[in-house]
Amino acid sequence: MNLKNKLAVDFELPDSDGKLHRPADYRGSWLLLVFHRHLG
Amino acid sequence: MVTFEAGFLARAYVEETGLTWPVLVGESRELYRAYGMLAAGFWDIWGPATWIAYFREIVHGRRLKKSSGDIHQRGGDVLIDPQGIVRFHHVGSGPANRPPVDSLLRYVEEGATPAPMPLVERGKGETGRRV
Repeated sequence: MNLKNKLAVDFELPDSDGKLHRPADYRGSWLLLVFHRHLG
Repeated sequence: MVTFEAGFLARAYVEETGLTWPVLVGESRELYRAYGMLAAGFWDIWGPATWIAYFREIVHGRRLKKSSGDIHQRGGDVLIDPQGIVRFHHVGSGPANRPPVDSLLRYVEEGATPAPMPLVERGKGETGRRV
């Protein structure tokens, strides 16, 4: 699976402080999503 | 940065590392699945590439920590342009398979295709930033 050149997947996720984030919040800027494997 | 682990672990991680960008918590892993980041197999986790990467970390004087949590969950990187189009999508095959941050930044600045995945794992503090 490679989604290059496709529309980004929409989501709504809280950050570690509980604030919600959506891709639309970052429209107009480059956005790098780094999916971590595990934190520990 | 996106994690599948619980919010309190994410908060502890932010405090420990001093990250200045948001750590998004997706415990359902729905977003991971949407980008094709599923469970890695045994050899993806414990294959030679991982040992070589860990060896390099030790050579560079970095201290390795025992892993906890679900070590089989794949990670990856998704670079989205200002119009909301995915311009780079990488699913890591294992712990050692991530693109260097510099090549991602070069892509943003110059449109250069990110480099192939090297046998290194980025250290804490290097992973993810809004560019």
